[in-house]
Amino acid sequence: MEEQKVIELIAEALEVGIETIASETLLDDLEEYDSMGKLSIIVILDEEYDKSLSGEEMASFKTVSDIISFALK
Amino acid sequence: MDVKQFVNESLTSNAYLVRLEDSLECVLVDIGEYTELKKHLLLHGLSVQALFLTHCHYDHILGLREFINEFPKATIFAHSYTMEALKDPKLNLSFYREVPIEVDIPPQNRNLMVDQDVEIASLKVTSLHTPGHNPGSLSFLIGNFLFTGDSLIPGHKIVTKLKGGNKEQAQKSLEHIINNLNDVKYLAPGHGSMLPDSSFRQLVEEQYQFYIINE
Repeated sequence: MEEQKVIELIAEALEVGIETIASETLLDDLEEYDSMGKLSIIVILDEEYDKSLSGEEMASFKTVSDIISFALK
Repeated sequence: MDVKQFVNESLTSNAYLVRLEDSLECVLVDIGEYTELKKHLLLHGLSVQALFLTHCHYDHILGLREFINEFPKATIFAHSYTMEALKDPKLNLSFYREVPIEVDIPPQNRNLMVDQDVEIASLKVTSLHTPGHNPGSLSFLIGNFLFTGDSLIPGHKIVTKLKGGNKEQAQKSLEHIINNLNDVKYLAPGHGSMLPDSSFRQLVEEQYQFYIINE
């Protein structure tokens, strides 16, 4: 399922276990979602989905679900 | 020895200016936003003899183009991977920000490093190849300061998921760093505060144990 694939990519980018991430997870609750973690997600979305994500768009995301929606839209 | 830390707005990365006290010659470890650096150089009448790059990521090379224009004779010391990545915005990650960085260092200014010693501006600089965060990652020992870039940020996991990152190499590099900590009094990472040996040693040991446990 595509949604699960995005969750796996986010977990990989943040170097956390897949079990720590669900679509409803608040990004601010993830310690690894710091500036370097955000950059890792920007890179991985570009590589996997050819999607360019600006820092401003990234700042508007509140939950993992927001990243999934962006990746799959 | 005098070490001044510059904290950049971009990803709050650090750049450092190093010189012997009373000397007007200095070296830089990474290059931050150039405006602040330039003010400091002018205020103190300093001349930069060399730039040592810990790795290629854009938050550590922000003012590179301005620096080369301002100091055309300065030597730039870096790993060969870094030297190539300076020309490639996707490798130096500047592709993902508003202003891509694409700089081809003139051959006469390049000096490739792995593990070696150089002497410049009356300072002895020892480079340690510490890949893991990035294939071209170097740490620099100058006096009793160790500049680790993003190869070691005490209290933080080493990020290995960016292009060219490798967790196993990061662990080996951490061992390489630990083996060279004997005379180090201050650890100067690529992000965060400089730490005295009273606080960084325990953090580094905890970090090493983390890698052993998660091996």
